Amino acid sequence: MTATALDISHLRKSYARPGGATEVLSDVTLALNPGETLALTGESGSGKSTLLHLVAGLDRADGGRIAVAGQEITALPDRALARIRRQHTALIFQQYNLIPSLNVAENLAFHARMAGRHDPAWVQDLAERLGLAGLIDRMPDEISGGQRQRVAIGRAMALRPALLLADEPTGNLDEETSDQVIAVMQDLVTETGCALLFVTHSDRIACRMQRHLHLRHGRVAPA
Amino acid sequence: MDRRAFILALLAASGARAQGFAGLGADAQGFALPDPARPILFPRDHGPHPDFRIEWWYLTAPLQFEDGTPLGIQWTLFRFALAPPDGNTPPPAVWMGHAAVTTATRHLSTERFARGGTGQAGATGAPFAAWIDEWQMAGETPEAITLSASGPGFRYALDLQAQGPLIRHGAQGFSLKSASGQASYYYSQPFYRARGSVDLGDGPRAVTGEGWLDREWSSQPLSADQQGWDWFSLALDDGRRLMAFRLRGTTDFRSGTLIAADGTARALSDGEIVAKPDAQRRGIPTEWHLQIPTEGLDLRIAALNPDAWMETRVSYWEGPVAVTGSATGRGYLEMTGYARSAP
Amino acid sequence: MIGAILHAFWSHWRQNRLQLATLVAGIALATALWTGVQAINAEARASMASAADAGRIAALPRLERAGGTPIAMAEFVALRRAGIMVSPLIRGEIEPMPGLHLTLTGIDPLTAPEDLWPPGDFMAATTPANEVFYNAPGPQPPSFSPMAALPEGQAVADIETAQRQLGRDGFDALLLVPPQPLGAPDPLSVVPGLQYVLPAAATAPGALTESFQMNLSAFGALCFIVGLFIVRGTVGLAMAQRRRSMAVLRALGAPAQSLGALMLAEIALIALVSGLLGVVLGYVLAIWLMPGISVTLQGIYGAEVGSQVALRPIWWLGGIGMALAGTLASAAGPMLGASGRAVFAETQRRRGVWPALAGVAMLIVSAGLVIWGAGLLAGFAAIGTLLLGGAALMPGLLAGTLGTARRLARTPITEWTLAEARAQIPQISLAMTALMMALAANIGVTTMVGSFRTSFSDFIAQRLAAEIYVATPDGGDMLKDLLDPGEHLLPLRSVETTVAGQPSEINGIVDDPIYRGWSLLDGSPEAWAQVPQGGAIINEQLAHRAGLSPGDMIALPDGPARIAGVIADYGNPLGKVYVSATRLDRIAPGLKAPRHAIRSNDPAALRTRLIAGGIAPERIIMQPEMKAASLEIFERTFAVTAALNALTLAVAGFAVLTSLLAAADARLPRLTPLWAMGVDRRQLAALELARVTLTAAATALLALPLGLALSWLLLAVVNVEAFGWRLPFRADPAGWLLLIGFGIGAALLAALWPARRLARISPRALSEVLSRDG
Repeated sequence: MTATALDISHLRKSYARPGGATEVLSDVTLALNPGETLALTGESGSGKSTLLHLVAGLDRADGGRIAVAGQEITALPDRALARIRRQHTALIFQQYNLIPSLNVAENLAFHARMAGRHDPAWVQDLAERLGLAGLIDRMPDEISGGQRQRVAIGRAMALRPALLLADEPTGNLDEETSDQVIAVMQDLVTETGCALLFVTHSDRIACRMQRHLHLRHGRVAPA
Repeated sequence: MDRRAFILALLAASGARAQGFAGLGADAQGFALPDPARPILFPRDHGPHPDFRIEWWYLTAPLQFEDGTPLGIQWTLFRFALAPPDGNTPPPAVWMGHAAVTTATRHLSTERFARGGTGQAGATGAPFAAWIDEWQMAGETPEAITLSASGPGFRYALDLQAQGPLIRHGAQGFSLKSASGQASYYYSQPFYRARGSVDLGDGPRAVTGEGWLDREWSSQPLSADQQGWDWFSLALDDGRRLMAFRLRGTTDFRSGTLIAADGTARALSDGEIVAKPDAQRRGIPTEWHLQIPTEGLDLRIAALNPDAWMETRVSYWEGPVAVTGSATGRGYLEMTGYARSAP
Repeated sequence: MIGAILHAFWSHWRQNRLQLATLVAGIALATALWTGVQAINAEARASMASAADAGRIAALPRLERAGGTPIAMAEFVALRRAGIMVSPLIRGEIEPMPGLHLTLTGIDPLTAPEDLWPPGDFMAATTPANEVFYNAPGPQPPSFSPMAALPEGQAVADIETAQRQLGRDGFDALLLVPPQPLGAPDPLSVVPGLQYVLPAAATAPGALTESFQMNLSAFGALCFIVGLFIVRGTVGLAMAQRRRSMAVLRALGAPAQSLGALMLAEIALIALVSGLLGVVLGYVLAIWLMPGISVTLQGIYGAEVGSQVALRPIWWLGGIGMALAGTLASAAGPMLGASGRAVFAETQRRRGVWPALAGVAMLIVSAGLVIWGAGLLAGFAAIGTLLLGGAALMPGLLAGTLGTARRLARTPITEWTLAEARAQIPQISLAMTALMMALAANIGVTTMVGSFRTSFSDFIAQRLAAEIYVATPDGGDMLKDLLDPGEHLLPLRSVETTVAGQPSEINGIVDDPIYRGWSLLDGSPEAWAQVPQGGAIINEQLAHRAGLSPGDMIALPDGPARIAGVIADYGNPLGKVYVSATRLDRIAPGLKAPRHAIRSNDPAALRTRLIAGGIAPERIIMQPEMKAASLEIFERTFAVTAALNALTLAVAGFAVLTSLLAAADARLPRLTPLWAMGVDRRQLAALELARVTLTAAATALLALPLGLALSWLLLAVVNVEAFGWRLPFRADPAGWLLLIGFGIGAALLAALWPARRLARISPRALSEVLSRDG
């Protein structure tokens, strides 16, 4: 463990709204080691997703710094940010965000192939462990929500990312499916040694992570 | 009668093409006008009347081939003066001829044009003659004439012998055409016996039948609101002849002449004639109910060929008809001022 | 309630101004193309109907007096009274004002062919009888009226006026005006001393002009169809975007029927306004293209067309009518769908294999029409079913092509691009169908015009191989004395008769190398050598109409003859048989040659000698002039075709743009996963461009066979049915590639703007799409 998987310090972000800027994140500092899992909870609109997007390099901070796998990303140009995402950061969303024109097998391998790290045996292994082996020829709109989310997890883990960012990944799933999805995700995180930042509004799920922070008034505090 | 006048008046009064067809404005200035005090005189009036703006020679003949198959022929020559006479040179004129042969299934028609003064078309009173190109109507007098015409796909030649006297319509030939006084000079020979040949492209075939000659001239024949007319010339099997017309305007104007077999003519007034259209073909009534109640006549008129449309530059319907009802016979029907609808 | 609904409609357009603009522009462009082509055609027809140019009159057969002395009025009247339809003609030079030199032609509008009198119907007005119609720049002499339909330097007047202007009595010639009445006698037996004068070189402008116009009309119809695809695409988009507000309106109690009726009224209003705009655009287009078109038709066809375009009610009303009908037809489906759809329901239409099956069925019908159909209608029906079949098969074939290409892909991004292109076919297929139709039409018309040009210029080069052609009504005996030793004379003689049941002309030819140069459509290369031995060569019209081919026997008046070959004979309505001069002498003993061709090394000197020898200049035609004219017309035709091609492609490109704009919002959720996995926005934009380009390229590939089939139908089926001769198909791969390139370019150009918008979209907007709640 030469570097923290994620290191955030004094992160600030505000949005222009009618009637003046609203500060969403005022001073967020947190760090995440490889293999570590962290739940981030907060009220609706508290800035959880914003924080996640900043970490993923999908949006830019107004101040402070973010380092992913030891690399400072806050000042990087678009193209370099995209490269960090391609190589190190995997995202899982509530809406799955699978590629609708590719089948399950192609979706599973897609991110890893983009990063140039495609390991067919590992993808095969993931497909089996995620219960997708019989579905790999299906298209995303031909499988259930839980199955889609498992494809999204498989796609993320096939990359062996340094950092896994999950944005309410179980928000559309029933409790039982949700528990299965989280269990398999935790197993894989432990196995690959990546760090997991898990954004959720559910304390029940948050409790299953190693750490649990709560975002309120633009700052994080232990829940 | 006025059917042709009507063509001209229509031309003069409304449509674009009419506007100047031969420069016939509504205005008759410089031309002679019909005058009831000056009745038609024979043989003087057999010749052309260059003082009047328009004039025509019209012969229709319901015929049959030797096997009894009915047909009809039409022969028409119009003269239009382009300017009033100036006393010296003959006034410039345009001549127009229409000819047609109609059977139950075919209607062949064609037209000719000529400028006056060249000899290509013309007319004389004695001998009685009218011609355009090779088409000709000629005899010493109207008593006995020959008639010929040809066109793409048809030709005919007839000998016509009058079996009765000439008939002057209206008041000694002064024929009123509207309530507002428009009039023309109009006489007929309705008693021709016809004999000759008709060739429809497969060789000449003998025909016989009846013929009816109309001569008419005027300078401002119609009133502005009159849009068209329906005109009948009928040869009844009992020897009587009937001419009747209806001018369609804001109020219809009807007139006619009933001629007894011996040639005694009686003018029919507006109120004596009832003409009602029955069946139509492409917007044109080709069957009629014609009544002269004062004479006990109740006739049904039906076209031999409902498609007898004259595809000429001035187009109208003209063709042979059969008469049934209180009397039987045959004749010719002419209808103008109708819009022909698509088939 | 209606007020409220209308307000909701209006606010939709106010918020989507671009969409309204697209809809209006789509309808207007479609109408403009349609009316533009119609206007050009209608104008060409109308002008030709009233044109009386030198070429036209010179091309009519006529009677002249041997020796060239005038014909008297009495002789004209004698012929007319004998039942021969002739019309007098006088011609000469006048100088009504100092420096203004005009060739004046006097005709008798009362007896002339109906379309010769420049003001049109002589019955419309008699005042023109005293006027001289002319076309020349500069001040106007009194009682002269300018008329643009006449060629420059020409004047036409009533015969009496012309006689006065020329200071002459009598006539120069009597035109023979068909149809002659039944039983008309031979004019030469009525007035002795007259002779038939046939045109120095026979052309049949009518048939060629009609062929050109018919093909142009077909092109116009195709243009309109392309335009309708835009309309359909735009209306579909507007409906999709309105679905939500429709649902709200319906949830608030607005009946589906009222919504539907109001939307129909709304779209009809838009169509009316846009159609009007399109008619104006079409008018501008016609004016812009008309000078070219006019000269095109004027050139070798010998038909005269004015270069002015009048806003004729027939085509501007027609244009608006087409806009209305076309818009309603193409919009009715999506609109009724929108108003009748269940509240808040999203439906995805899956069409399965039915369109493909229907497409195959259409193509089978089309092929069946070609094989078993007869007549022009069958030819056009074959074109219609071909295009419909092509359109129906297009999405399936496109998917297949892209699917095949995908198997060759190696990188994930390439795979995605191809997969995505394939998945997006339903969204873009309307636009791509428009593109395919445009390309097919362009390929078809370009091939047709190219084939026309090559075949016809070859034909002219062969058929007019002699350097000089002379009309010789007296038989041309004097010509021999005027020739130099190196020059030789080819008498051109023919008799009209019936061969194999078809009205035909038997030509007698001397054995000359010039004929060996005439290429045969069918028959052995030795065919011409068989003619002196009694064989016959027939033209394609006769072969087609009588079902004859080489080896068959035909009955000629002097006995049977074996067909040695078939030659092309463009623009000629009659059948033709070529036999040896000796054989023609047997068929028609003593037949003089009304025309002669002369081979000469110095045609200019020969012409001077001929004129000095007493041959009227208008009886001499120099071959280079005719050739040059024939080639120039095709250059101009090409220019017009290129302009129309560019416009159609622009319209198709516009269709692609509207469909891309329509799909832009729906594209984002399909692109953001890639962005989340490390594809930056500029790359995403580039991928979108690649996707559209690939789709367009696949479409263009499919358009090629369709376009070739279309041109083949035009050349080999429709033209044969309409005119009796087939134009040989000339392949122009370079031209096709260029058109395909333009087609792809048009799609790429259309994709640039949406791609640019994508490249500049804010990251926040993208990330919001990623994390959007369902």
